[in-house]
Amino acid sequence: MRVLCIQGIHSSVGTSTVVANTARTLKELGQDVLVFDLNPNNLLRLHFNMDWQNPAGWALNVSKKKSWFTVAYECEQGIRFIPFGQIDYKKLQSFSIAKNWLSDQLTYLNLPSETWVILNVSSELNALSTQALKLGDIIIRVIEPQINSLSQVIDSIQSSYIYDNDSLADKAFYLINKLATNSQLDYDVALVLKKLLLEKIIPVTIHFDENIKEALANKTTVTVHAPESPAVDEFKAFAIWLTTHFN
Amino acid sequence: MSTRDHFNKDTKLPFDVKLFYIINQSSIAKDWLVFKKTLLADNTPLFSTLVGIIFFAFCYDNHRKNAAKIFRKYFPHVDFQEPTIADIVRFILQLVWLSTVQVNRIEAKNTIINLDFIYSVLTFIKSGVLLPIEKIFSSAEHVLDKVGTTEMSQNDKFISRVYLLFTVLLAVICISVPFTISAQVAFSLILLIVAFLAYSTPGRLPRLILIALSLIISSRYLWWRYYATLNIDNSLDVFFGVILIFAETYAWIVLLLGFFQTVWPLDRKPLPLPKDTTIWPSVDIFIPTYNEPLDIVRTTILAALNIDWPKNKINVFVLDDGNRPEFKLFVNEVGARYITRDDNKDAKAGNINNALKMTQGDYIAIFDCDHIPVRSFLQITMGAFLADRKLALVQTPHHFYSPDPFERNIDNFKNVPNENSLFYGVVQDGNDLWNAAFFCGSSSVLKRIPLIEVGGLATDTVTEDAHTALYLHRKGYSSAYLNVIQSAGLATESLSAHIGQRVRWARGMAQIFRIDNPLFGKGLNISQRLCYINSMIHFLGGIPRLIFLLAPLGFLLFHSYLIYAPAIEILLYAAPTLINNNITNSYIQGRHRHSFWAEIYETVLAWHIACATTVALIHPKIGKFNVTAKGGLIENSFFDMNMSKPYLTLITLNLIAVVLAGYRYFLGPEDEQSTVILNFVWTAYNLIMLGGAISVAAEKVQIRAKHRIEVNSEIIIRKRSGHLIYATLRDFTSDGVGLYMKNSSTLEKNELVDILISNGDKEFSFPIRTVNVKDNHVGAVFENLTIQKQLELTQCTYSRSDAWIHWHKNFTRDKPISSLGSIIKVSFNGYLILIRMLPQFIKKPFLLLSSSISYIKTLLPKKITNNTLEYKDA
Repeated sequence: MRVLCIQGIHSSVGTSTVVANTARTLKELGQDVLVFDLNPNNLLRLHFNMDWQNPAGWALNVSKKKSWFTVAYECEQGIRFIPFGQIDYKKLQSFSIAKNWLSDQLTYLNLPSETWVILNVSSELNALSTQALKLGDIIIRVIEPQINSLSQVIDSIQSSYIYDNDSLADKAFYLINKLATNSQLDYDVALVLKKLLLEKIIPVTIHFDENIKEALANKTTVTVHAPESPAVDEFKAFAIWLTTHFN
Repeated sequence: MSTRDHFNKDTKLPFDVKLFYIINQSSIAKDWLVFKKTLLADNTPLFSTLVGIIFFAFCYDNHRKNAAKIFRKYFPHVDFQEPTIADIVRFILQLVWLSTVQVNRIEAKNTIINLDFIYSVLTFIKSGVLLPIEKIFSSAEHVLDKVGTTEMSQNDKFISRVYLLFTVLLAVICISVPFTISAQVAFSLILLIVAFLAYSTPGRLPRLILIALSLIISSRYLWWRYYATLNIDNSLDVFFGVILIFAETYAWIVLLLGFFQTVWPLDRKPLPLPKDTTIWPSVDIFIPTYNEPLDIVRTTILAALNIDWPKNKINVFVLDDGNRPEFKLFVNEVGARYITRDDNKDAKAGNINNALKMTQGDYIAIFDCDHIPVRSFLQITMGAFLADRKLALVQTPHHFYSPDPFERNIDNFKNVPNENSLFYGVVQDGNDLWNAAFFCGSSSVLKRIPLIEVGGLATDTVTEDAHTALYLHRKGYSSAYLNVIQSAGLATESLSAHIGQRVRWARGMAQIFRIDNPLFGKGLNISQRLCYINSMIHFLGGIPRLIFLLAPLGFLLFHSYLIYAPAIEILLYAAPTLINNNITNSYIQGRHRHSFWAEIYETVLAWHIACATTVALIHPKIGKFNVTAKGGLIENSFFDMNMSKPYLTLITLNLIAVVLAGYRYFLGPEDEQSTVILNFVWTAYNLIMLGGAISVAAEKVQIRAKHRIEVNSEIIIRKRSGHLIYATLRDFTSDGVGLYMKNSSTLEKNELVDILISNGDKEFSFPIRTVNVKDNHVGAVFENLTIQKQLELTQCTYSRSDAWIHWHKNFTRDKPISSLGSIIKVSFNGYLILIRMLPQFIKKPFLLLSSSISYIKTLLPKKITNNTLEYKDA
């Protein structure tokens, strides 16, 4: 079991998109993939064509003290995913999980060693994301070539990458997403980020593309929606980077 | 009986399917129908159906489904639907070809008939012989690596001298002892066998062996010529004999010096520069121009500005001898510097010398105005200067991205290495070993101090470049040659321009030979003298070449025995020499020149340089610098009658020789017949080469002003809607691009989009307008690029350091026999061109002959290649 955490350095950097497309690309490369949505915004399911109205998800079941095994789905392309579930604000406030809950669940699943478990981790620091990050074999932190990401990255470097935790920092890598091709500033910030992060940066940049937005509107991933988009090749390159990293 | 076929239509069962039912093989009837559908049409005549069934029956069971496709692929020229007798011949010949020559490379062998047993036995024998020899040669390589690196002791020196003496003695015996006919046969055979073995193995030892063999056998030939074949009793024989022996001696000297020059190419590697950029020297880049249009020079200037070097240590100067205001405007706009002068004294050399006075850089890099440098040019070349204080010159190859007239008119661009390729691939690298690599006028770096010391560029001759290098070497400075393509330019546009350029070189070299002969004078060591002298006398080859082209007439017309010996003896001496020399040259030249092409190049030039060099040798002051025209168009195909008059004369004379040969063979004395045959073969060879020259003179249309440069890099198209599309950049010019897209329906004609090209860490966008969109291919032109964008574009295209790296990948190692084959083809085309110009009543029988030859050609087997290109050019 290869546990892959994908976490945005802050909100709205496109983490769910990266998770969904990475999962689909890995699947296309013949890998076995399970996606676990740990983000309360519950967006990931939309990339896999789940009904808007369907509130099901593991967190919803857990909060109702039910087993979450009933809410695992498989999309048309054969990717298994577990949505977070639509939880209202009040329930979310009181939502809590046991220590080592996540690792217990994964151990219980007892997946074969080649299976990729992709955890869609919320950018906010909470009990769930802490558990996930500790559990991950590798952490992909999604960043945008924007000043707010840059400022976060500089903070991270000063606090030895993540939450003052060296062991997390060691396995963390950065992926630039949403590079706007008509913005000189984006290019410049991307260069600065590459210079700052050196070998920590993944040598693939995902360009901002209208096709990616449209793909979500069509409740699918860009690999399915617009195969001619460069994002398809970029995600492929990223997936190959991931597999070589694990080998 | 009726059944449903695979189209679900009720049909009457055809007889062939019935046949399968009869022989109780109904299971394969379906396979047969597929086979028949693919290979034959629906309504095939009875005959071909029967033939089809026979084929089908021959296929192995498990391959029957794909058999039809394989038949189509491996018998592309056979018409299965309506076969004629000729198709049967084609099929049989192709079958023989596939099962003998091509058997190892095809998957069809399992499907058709398995004949690769013989092939594998042959391969086994071949590798059994070659493997031990390869082992010996490769172990010798370690010993050869140490040559020159270790200091020899007194004792070693003595021993090596003894060896040398012994070797020379042995060589003298081999060369001068007269043999009987049978001894000569044995001797030549042994040498040839050794030569063939050495030819099949790579390495430096086989190279040395081949050179030694060639030296022995050709010296032996020449010795025999002087000693035994001059008939001094007959004045006519002596007259013609001496002329021929002069030409042969010349050829022998050129061969000898050529071997010396290329015995051990240095293959120098770029040296790294120090980390600290403050100690890097300052460089001035000179781009001399005279009358070339700004459109050509523009990219060179932009690329020169893109060269990676500390910005305060590099200056780009455009030296405009044409004094043109639009140049001044552009140069100032992009941030280069403009230099002009009042007169045009001493042409290019004078132009550069003038600029030398007005600039201060430690080094000077010179680019002809169409030679576009890549950004790494200085990084690659400057390291050598910092390592060697005596170094005054670093030269890099001249590479051309457009076809020269030979390549265009013969249509072998990128398939056969061009005339230049040998010089920059082998000769300069060989010169470099002897510290005699010389300046070629462009794509090179000179050190200022030595250059000033010799008085700037030489102005006494029309080849200022070679002469300047000679000056530098005489002063004790050294030179280096780096065989890394770091710039690319335009080839000469027409045959007349090409000949004009070569004539200038020949004249200049003859001038240097006459007024500043490298054999004499101070400062050079013996090997430098030999290298220079070879480069010069190479250009004096016009007259000897003409002698060879006319020699058979000496016997056939004047009945003079130029070589006074029986034909069989001539054959036994000459043939092994020719074969051996060709093998050795083919080995040395490797993939830089294919066998016999040199003959064509030299035949084309022979007459023109013969005149120029003779004049220059008699009166070296005549003749001025001519600017080589480049980047022009040829709107209509035409035959360059002016340039080809000499060949037409030579062809006429050789045709007369053919007629005379027929006359002498049938009507002359019987004991002369063998000599007649020998001379006839010689004439035929001459005619082949002259035909090649003729086909070069037929100028083909050149419609494109800008030559597309093929690349294969991934780019992104950004539509104005914000959609990104992945595409492949197939080719570019400074005006537009050719793209390949998996799905071009997303683009419209005349659509304004941007392309994003990445270069290292950076990505640049350029606005383009699509001109045509068809079948996944998109042609587009750039739309209003600003100066900044033009600079960026040059950076992403011409200036890329890897821009020309893959250029030579298509060139394979020389295969002499197939090379001769393609020359004969080219020559044949040449004669066809000539015949078409003749009056109708003469033309007709010839054209009939040619069409029957091309018909016979369709019968011949076709070579099947498995690596088909994924997509063709836009």
